[in-house]
Amino acid sequence: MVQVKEVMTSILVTIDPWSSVREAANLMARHKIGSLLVLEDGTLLGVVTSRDLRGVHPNRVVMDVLRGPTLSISPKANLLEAHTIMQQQGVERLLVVEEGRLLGILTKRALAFALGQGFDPLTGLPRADFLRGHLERLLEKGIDPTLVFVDLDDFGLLNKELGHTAGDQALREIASKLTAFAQKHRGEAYRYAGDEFALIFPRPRTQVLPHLPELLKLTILVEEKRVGFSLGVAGGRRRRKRLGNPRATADDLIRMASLASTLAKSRPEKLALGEEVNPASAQAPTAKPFPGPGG
Amino acid sequence: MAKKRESTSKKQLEVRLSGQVFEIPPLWDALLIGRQAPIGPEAAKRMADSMAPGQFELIRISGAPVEAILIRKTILQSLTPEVLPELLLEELAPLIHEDLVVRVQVEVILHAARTVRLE
Repeated sequence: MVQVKEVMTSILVTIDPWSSVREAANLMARHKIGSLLVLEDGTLLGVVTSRDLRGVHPNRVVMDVLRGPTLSISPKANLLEAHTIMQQQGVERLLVVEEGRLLGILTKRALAFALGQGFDPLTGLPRADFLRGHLERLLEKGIDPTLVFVDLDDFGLLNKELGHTAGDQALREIASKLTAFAQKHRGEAYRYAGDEFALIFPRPRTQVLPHLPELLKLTILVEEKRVGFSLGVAGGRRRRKRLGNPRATADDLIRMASLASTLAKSRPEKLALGEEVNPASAQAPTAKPFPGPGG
Repeated sequence: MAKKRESTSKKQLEVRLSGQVFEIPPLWDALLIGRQAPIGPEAAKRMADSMAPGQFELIRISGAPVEAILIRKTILQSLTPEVLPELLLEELAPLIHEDLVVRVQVEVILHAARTVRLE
């Protein structure tokens, strides 16, 4: 999962709080930036942005347009956490601080660009990278999430018979239905790979399994042809915090759920659990996550 | 800068002077700072503190053409911070504009009357 430090701007331009608004605007224009750090005697008072200067008399001082201290975030935080803070607090910038040291600034624009690369343009769903990041965060908090893999049946055949545009239509259709289902049951939907989707529920499996028949009843129709899918479930069984590395555990959950969804294809109920997968056959899923932009 | 030189030119520079005692501080008793005035509340407070340290207090106003009022603390001893802004904004309304800074003299006079019963 991409971290804040990879997206932040580390070139920081500062201004004195008693400098004029005119001077601040000139400084922003000269450096082609939209914000300045306001420092007085080495103490950070906040950030002044180009929006703060809009419509203000140029003779005024920066101190008069400063809107209180700016929120900060750790450089190791992931982009979705940063996005949540910005959304909830209604801010467009976060200071990146580690152990009291200012490392950089994260702007909404840079965040939006980076996040955009993590979303699938066809379905609008977040990709595998975000899925893994979300799982890791839940595991770090001591939550054992329930992961449901949704694998379309005979998707390759559908593409061959009806063409890729029909395949794309099927993917959009199921993405929309999975999103609605996930929202209804307080979960999140992801597109993991080509025809594999995933749902995360930050709750025990016992609270998720009763709703899966409802999911399996969903009908996906493309050019009057019904597209079926199979479900694989992993995680959501432990009450205590899982020991070990959250990243490795997240990978393990993804692998088990993916293999279970493959096993489910051969079953009439179209559902299999991770623990039913033969450990000997527990190999990496055949599907590969989307490569990131440019790779 | 004019240079003294020999020429036939008729140009002259006249220098006029006028002087006046500068009041310290030049703020009178209250300063009403418009929302778009060339000086903001923080700058005005800094100016007051540098000329009359500790003598002025800043009261911020929301939803009015006036952003803040800088007021002499001695006046706040007889009029509460809740009453004074309302009074100033109401009475000085014709003068108030968000581009302006208005200085105000505030005179607080106590009127008292008592009846004394004679034996």
